[in-house]
Amino acid sequence: MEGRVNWYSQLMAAFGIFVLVYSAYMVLSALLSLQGGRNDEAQYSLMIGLIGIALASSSLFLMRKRALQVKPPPEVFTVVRCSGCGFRLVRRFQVGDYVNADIGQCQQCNGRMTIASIYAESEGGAGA
Amino acid sequence: MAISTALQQGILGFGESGRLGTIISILMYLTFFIFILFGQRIQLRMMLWEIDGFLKRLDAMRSEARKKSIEMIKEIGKPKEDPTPHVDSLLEQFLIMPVDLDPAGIVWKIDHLLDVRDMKFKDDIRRIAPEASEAQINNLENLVEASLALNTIFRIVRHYYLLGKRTSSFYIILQLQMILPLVMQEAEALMGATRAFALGQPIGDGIGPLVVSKLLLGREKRRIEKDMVMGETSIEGRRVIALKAEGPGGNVGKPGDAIRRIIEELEGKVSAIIMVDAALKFEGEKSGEISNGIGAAIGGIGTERFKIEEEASKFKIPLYAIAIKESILDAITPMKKEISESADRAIEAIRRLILDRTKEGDTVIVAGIGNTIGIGQ
Repeated sequence: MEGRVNWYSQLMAAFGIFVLVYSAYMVLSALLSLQGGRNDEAQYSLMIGLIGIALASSSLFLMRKRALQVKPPPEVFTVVRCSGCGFRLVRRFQVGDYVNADIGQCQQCNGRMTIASIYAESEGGAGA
Repeated sequence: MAISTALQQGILGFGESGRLGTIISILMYLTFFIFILFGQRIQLRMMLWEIDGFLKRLDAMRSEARKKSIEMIKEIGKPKEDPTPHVDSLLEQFLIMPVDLDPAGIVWKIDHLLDVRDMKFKDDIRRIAPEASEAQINNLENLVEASLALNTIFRIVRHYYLLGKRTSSFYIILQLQMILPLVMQEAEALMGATRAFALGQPIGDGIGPLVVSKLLLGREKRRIEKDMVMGETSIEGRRVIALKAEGPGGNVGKPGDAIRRIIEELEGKVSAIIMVDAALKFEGEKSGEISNGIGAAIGGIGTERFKIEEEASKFKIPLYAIAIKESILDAITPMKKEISESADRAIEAIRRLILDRTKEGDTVIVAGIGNTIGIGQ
């Protein structure tokens, strides 16, 4: 299903780029027509070219926006701290972890290690 | 290339000899009349097309949430028979609110109905997940509730979509299209919540219980009222009684009943009630910011807030609120780092409030409000 959606998105993006390039060509041909004194031709080419550029850009922009909206779920980390020496360890969340859970003995001072906090952080590091 | 050759040869050329100019002119007039005559219908079709896309996404979300609920029940609860029909029946469950023609005493009726609903939901989960522990039952209950919410959102949106489509009512479709981005935001948040509930991760709404658990670190705790725990500590010479929902399973408890019981046990000799809760931020505000206020900081249907306000006004106890700002998405998805880090600042705000508003030797109640999933005592 996801593969089909990707294939369709790629096809739509390719079509958008084709329309954008062709519209740019129309604008260029409008300028050439203007130089040749063919004003009517220039007017129509410019109109079609600009409409094409506006439509293709807006559709490509929307596609990009939608693609950026799909974010992977944030990574969740568990912070384990020793109540004796303050030794701190950050690791990925494991099922069964909860804040204040007793994790076992500290590797440094044999004190008790407990989960101090659990938080989510996205890949960019700016939070979920 | 063929088009440009045609343009050069004048077959499709513009100008006096060309025909394309005439065709474009006719097309523009035609488009103008089409839009005058059928403009609203075209707009309606486009809106329906857009809503259809949203509806498909909502359908995929509710199916995924349902699948996840069934998988987790099978994995944790190890039922002897297939739990799918039971889960489907739970996803269609509803609550009929009491009649409000005579609103006197309605809070207790709602409270009773909510208790019955909660008890039945938990019993149903317990029955289909016999091997699950109490904390896991609470998590599974939260997971199924999130799936139920997604299912309800989908059914309501589909209802108005089909109704608007059948009656071709522009205004039904317009209202639906206008509100859908907000509905989708909530649905996305619920999807995030299903992940957190399935794994037992703390969510943003748990910041209140997290503050109290930090406040009571290493102190003795005891159970008070249904699903609530309390402990005692001392801040600047004041006796602080702190309470939260019993974790680490997904649970909000009944803080109203717990506060009422503590006040009654102390015969009303309480100098202040400080409530710590997650509050919805406005757009543009930062998650994890802390603000102080007056009143009972507690969400939900309103029954718990009613009980706290009743008791506080009966004994003239000042009610203070400390709110940790977050969005709806932050509130029900795994707790962000900045929200988790705000717990220490909230404790500092509590300390300042106690120093400013009470005297040495006074008794203060601090209530951490919210879902305590993934947060122990």
